[in-house]
Amino acid sequence: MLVSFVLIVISFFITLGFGVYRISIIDADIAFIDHLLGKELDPNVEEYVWNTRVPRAIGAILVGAGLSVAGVVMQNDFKNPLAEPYTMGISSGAFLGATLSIILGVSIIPFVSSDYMTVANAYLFSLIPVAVLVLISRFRKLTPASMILIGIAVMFLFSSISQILMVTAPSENLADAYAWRVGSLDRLRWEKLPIVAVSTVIFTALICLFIKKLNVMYIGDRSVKTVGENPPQIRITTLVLASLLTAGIVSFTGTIGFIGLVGPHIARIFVGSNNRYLIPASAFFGAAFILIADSIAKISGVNGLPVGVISSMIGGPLFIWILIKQRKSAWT
Amino acid sequence: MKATAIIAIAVVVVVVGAGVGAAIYMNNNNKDSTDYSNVNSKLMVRGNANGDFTVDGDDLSIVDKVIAGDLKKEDYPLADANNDGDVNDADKEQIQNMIDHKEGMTIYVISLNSEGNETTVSVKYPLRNVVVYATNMEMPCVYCNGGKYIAGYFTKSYATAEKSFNAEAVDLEGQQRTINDAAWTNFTNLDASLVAKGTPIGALLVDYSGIAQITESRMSDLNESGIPMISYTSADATDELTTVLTLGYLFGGDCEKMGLDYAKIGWDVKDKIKEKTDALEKKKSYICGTMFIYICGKTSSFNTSATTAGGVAYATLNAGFDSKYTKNSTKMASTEALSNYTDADVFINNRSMDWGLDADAKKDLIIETWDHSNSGTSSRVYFNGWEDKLFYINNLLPGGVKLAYMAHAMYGDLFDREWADGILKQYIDLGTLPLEGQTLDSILAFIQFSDYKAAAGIA
Repeated sequence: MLVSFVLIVISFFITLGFGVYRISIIDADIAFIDHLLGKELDPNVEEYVWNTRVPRAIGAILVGAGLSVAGVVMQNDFKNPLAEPYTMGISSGAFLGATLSIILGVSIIPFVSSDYMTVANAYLFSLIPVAVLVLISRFRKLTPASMILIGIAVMFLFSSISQILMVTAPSENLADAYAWRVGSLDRLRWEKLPIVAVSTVIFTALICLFIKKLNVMYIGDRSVKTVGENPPQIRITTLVLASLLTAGIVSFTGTIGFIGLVGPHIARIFVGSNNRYLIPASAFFGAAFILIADSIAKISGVNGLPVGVISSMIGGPLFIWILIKQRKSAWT
Repeated sequence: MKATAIIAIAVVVVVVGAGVGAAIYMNNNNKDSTDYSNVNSKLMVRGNANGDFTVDGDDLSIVDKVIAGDLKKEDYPLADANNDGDVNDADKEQIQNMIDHKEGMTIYVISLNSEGNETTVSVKYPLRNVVVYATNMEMPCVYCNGGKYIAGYFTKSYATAEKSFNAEAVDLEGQQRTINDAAWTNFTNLDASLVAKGTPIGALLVDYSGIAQITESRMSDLNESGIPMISYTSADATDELTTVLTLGYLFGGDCEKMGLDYAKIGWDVKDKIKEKTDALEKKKSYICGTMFIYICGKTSSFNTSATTAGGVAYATLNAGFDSKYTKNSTKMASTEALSNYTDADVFINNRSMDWGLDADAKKDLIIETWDHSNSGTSSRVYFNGWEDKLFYINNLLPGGVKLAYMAHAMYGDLFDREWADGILKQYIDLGTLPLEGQTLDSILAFIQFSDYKAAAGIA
């Protein structure tokens, strides 16, 4: 955790110097500190460092931490190492909502300003998969395996609808939808960051209240009942919290894959499966990972690349390497 | 045989083979009498020997002089009116038929082929039953009042500007930038039904920026059905004038007169801009944009229009910018995309906006244009710091009007707003159907920051 924290601090100051606007890392950091001290900045520096890169860097920390914590909860709830916001259909729900807005101009909530129409659609649609689970679980008893399969089924359903919309979309709308699909932190500016921050902090804090219960879930549903807990209730409650946490992020950034899966796994290798340590460790690792990935994304290609692409490109090989190096399963 | 000898023989075979191949290829190309590069004409039809606005006695006298040997055939490529490779009495007869507007004759039209080279296609005069593809070709068709001759269209997006489309025209259900297989099938079915009625499709009119949609197999369909394809880079303001003029000529009657008057106004604007800006020591640099946050590359039609309007493409001044924005349009990858190019003088953003607006609709459209949400990020964020040099120009307007507003955006002191508005008024008064019943107040032609501030109530 200490290593991750140090990485976050260093990466934060480095990423302020990364981007299209040419400014050295040192000058960007000085500008950041000057602004905090209330000094007046050059308008371009003010715009591109303070108004663009600082909220983006803070956003990267929140996004990485939030998605990793959501991944921990889902893997814990389903006792399945493949569970994460993407496989649970949350991200594809958000994408369908965004696609409806971008391609068809449909707003689920009336009278929302155009800036927030896509966000509102994405947020509402990302909650549908978990709503379906909650609804079904009221009438039928669902095993963890059937819950994750329902999530995957909803994911495929949403993805296919999104594909239909994209196939018939005009090229400029298609480009916008695709850009949303691969995720970007460029959309996080001061005016939107507080919403993401408040949502991430609140739902992470609420999840932390369930740490003991989440730990108990490791021993299996039957055993959990013997200690007086209600496994389906814990599962549904924490799943709803994780979904709200994820929705608050991906509705603003688009789909940023992989970190929800890899963050918890890597943290688990170092701190084990006790959620008291696993949740904060995943949050720190996820934050550092996305911050570094976004720094690389900003300077990749001719015009920069989406962070979702870079996070998967780095995360994939890194994850395989760690799994090979690992002597024993962290799940045992 | 030694290895070196084998390699030497192989090299000789390859070189000789390549040489023979190149010679055959070049020889074949030379045999094609239609292959003239960069025909410099306003009216793009063979027979318009002098390259002016119409076919008349002047063209006949040029042909006479070419036949007599007083003028070189190579200097007057359009003197070959019947496209047979020679200039002779048959061309005089063809031109006389054109002057007489003889119905049923074949006219040889200069157009772009799929590769962007000039070629000649033959159409029956007067041209009827056309199918149009893409807004930048639809507008020239209706500007010469030829909407009544549209038999089908792949897309139609602007209710007021395109209201003069033939009411019977068939919606082939394509999209603005895509002709899918179903839409193409609708096209071939339309042709079959018109052939059955004895009135086949006269031509497929395609904006060259959408030429990729006319694939090789679709081109084969056209050839098999004998449907000529006429294509121009009609998004460029000058080419748009040429397109209106040429289509008007081919439709004949009142369309020919409208096309002629329309093109002449535009050419006068072009000449006036050239006269005033040629004398300038330092020209203004511009970056063109479209679809709100897409940056146009050096060769895009929007750029060529802005150059005609007296500006210098920023891409020619900044190699770094040029290497980043090589395509006709590239979406800004981040809100910092313009941060290193603030030394450009203006940003001309092209947007197609329908008209027939009342005061409230106009205000809303100004705000929507300036604040447009790009996947949740306002255009204002991308253009932060550029407000005073950002101008939106309505891409649906006549080429002459677009040139006038572009010139005003770059040289406000030389070309004031009243002058540019006056050009638009001239077109409104001309009687071209898309602008029928419009006023300067019902059309959003040009938006600058002060307009936005007034609309949004910002001090």
